[in-house]
Amino acid sequence: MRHPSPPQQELPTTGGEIQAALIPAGAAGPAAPASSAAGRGGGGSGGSFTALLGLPTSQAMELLLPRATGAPPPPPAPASAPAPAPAPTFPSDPHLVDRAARFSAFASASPSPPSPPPPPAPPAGKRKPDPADRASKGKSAKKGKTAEEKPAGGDGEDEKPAYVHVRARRGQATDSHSLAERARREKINARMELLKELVPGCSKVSGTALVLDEIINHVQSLQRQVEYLSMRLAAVNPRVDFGGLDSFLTTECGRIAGLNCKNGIDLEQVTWSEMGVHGARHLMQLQQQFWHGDLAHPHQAASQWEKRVDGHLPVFSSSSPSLFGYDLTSSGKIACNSITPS
Amino acid sequence: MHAPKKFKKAFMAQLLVSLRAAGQASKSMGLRERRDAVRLSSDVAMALASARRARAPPRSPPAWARALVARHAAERRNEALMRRIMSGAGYEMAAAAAAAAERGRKEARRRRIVRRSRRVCSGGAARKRRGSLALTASGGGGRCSAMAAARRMVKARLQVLRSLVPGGEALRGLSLLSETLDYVVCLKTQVELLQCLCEGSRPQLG
Repeated sequence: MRHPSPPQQELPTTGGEIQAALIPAGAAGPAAPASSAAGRGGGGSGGSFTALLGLPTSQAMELLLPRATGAPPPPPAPASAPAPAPAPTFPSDPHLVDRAARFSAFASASPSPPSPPPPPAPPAGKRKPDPADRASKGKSAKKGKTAEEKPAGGDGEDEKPAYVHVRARRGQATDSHSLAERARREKINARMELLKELVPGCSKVSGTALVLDEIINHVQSLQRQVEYLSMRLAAVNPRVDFGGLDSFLTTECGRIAGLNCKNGIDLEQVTWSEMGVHGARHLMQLQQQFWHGDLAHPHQAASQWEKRVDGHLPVFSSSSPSLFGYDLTSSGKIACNSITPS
Repeated sequence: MHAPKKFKKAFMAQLLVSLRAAGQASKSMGLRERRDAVRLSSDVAMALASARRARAPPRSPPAWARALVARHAAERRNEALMRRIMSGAGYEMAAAAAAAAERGRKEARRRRIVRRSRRVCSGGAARKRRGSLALTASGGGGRCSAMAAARRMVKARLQVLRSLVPGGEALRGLSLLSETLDYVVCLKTQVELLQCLCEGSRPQLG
């Protein structure tokens, strides 16, 4: 995995690696629109090269700070105006929770200057390669969401969002096709990095094919585990009824699954509300079956219970300790305590 | 560890519901049938939970969820059970998704055939051109073939991945990776929850 290098490296590699770091960048919160370094190119007509050199390092410093606030630092004064892109969050952050934010942030990324021949793209949620002319300044490689504070170039319009600018890398092609390709490739690399984090033991492996190998192995092993566990569950229970859920709720695994007593109430409420009366009826049937071991006459049992149980959920819950019999003492009472407030 | 707690809880709740429904439905004593019932219910639970989670920040429910449910719905014998777990309307949607998936698969097959034929036609001309270019580049011959080999490997593995991930046949490239991501997370949570259930029901034996 490429990590952002210390900013003292030379320009293109810095830019490249920052690009890599920027891609998983969940912009913390909605894209506080930061003007891109692209502006520099536009203003680069006047800017000195040393200024350009100086700029990326400072921006790199900004970017390297993990979790810098979303507000972009004020743009450096000189001719090259723009402020750095929003700080990236490093791949170690919980992406999957932030993925929605990231994508929505991308969607709401501040707009691109609609310079002359941009390849037409649907506005919402699509990245747009930098128009060729600006990228053709070609000085460095920074990719970021843009809010236009560029002085020059006549493209300082803040319009509809959802454009992400891609700077051309040094010495690389700048036409729209390759830019789009590069954007695509960066997306793919971002996903691959996420997957590498997810799958254990992938960080050492480099190269797409081997990583994919590991992922495939992992998925297969997970699926096999699910099969094995379901077989085990089926074997443990005489039949697939789970009346002993109250005991489950109070045991460790209930805690592990995040269902402590307080949440257990929610769970029960959720389940009761989901199942509704019919579900309750089914549960009663289950209990009936378990108690009487009577498989032959489920219907009669159902009808009996039905008359009693219809719409009497609280009654049912209060009488539950007697039903969940096989673990009467502690868990039954605890379950009762957890259920009664409902 | 990646999955947020709410997801786990929703998943678990759904899992319990579906397991209860499964238990009520099937009077079958066979181990295999029971295991299939368990697996079915957990899969459905997973799909439903992830669909619900996808509803909150409004994005479309993941493709693998639909495909998974559709795959289960396609088998006739699961029908009654699934009707119980999901509401009737949900089951209709699943059946519709199954039909759509079937159609999608046919489309994908047709597209692949067209693409292959096109490649064959233009392959000769392109290869000649590319081959000459490669030879002229300095040492480019070896490099290009290495890259081509790497690409072939990646393609082969992507194909395997498509077969693994439900609904992956129709996906390409980027979406495949995102679906894989989602699917792996959900599989992990599924395994954890099933383990919890296992351990939870173990004291009964003692």
